Amino acid sequence: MGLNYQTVLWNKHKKVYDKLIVAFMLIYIILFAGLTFAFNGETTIETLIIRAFGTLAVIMLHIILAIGPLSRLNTRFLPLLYNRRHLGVSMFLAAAVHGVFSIIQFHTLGNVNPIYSVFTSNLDYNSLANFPFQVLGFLALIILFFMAATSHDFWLKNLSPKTWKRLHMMVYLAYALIILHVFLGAFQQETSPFTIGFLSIGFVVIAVLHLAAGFKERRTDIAKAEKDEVNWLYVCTVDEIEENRAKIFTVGKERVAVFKYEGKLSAIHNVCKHQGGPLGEGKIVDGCITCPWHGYQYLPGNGQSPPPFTEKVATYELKLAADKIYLNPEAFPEGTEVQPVNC
Amino acid sequence: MTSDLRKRHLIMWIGIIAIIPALMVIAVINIPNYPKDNQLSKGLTVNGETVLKTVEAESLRLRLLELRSGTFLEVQVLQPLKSSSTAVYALNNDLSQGVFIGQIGSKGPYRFPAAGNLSGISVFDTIKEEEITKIQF
Repeated sequence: MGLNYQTVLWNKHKKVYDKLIVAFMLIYIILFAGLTFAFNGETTIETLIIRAFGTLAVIMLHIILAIGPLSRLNTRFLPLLYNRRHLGVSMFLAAAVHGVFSIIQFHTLGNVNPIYSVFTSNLDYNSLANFPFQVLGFLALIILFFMAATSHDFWLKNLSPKTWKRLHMMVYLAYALIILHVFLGAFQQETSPFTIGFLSIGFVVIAVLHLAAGFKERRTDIAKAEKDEVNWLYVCTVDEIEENRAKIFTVGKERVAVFKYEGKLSAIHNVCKHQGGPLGEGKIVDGCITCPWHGYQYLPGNGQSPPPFTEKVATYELKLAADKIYLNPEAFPEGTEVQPVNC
Repeated sequence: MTSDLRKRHLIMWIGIIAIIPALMVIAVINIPNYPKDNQLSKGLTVNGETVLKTVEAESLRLRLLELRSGTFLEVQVLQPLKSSSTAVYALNNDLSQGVFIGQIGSKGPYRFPAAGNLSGISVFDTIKEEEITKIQF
């Protein structure tokens, strides 16, 4: 969370993660080159670069796509989510090296524009064995480019979180295009079942993780709450919430986070204004509810970010009956001060 | 995330799971079955072989061999190929591209079953979709 835009928002943790990303990429490329020269010494340097960076980008994309559902299924993966953006930009750079070298190698020796050549050199769309797979990879690269180019908070703010999120959900389309790019391209000359099996297993793992996380969230979304005589909703008992943590509760189509801190209870809308992170999965740090995704903060009593920040979320009224917590399902306007309930 | 966004994620993944695996399976089923003999052979000399024709051009050495098991085309790649995916086709009498013979790759010898009256080959870049060269015996 920063008041002014910076080119790259680094902190101690992000620097560690970024060093790990760079180290992983370097080790992979060196290993790939070493094994290639050991087992296929005639490979040209251009082919080596195309293959090494292409496979690296595919592996990184799988890791990136696994982080989201893993974080939904187990909060121990949340630190990875915090740094996913840098991993995404790094993956795009690897994919860009693969794409640029492929275009140079396969499309710059003719007498037409290389990009035009990508789309016109093979028009055999009726053939699976000879499908113009490079077009699929090129389209995926364009999507990844727009995602990387707009990954900065400047674009998130100026495009609006809704538009930004829609744009970045296109990573799923890019993933589908890349899977088909590999299956209709490299695998059509592939004789080893291991590489085909490896990518197939990767797809199954990612798909299962997303489905598992999606259905888990769906169960929470459709859970029905018990009402009292004035239609307030029963949330849970006080003991069920850990100190400085929250219970996430579904009200209609919205989720509310009920936080317990310093002998008090407060409820705010669960969705962070930054990227829609689940505030209720965060904790109270220095008196502020802190989003687990990117550290955006809100005061529990009024749902406002501490000055000079201006983000604010809706607040809700709570009441206690014995040790049972009840919530008024009618939200207050964003940033409304609500007296915490003592517990 | 809002519930609408969560729902959209789930629907997208159900869509991906419904479509992509089917395309993956179809793609794998349709991988061309190149002749099994197109693997790199371990040696060039086989007892009982008769060399019917031979020619060397464009960093390729061709030999049409008569073996006990039939006629074979041997393509020896003398220098690494510039194209990353290279196919060999038989040449018809009018020098047009004929039947597919096999795929060649890194430096070394390759053997494919072939017709005894093979007059030459067309070497084809399957990615650029263009003929690299024609070689006639």
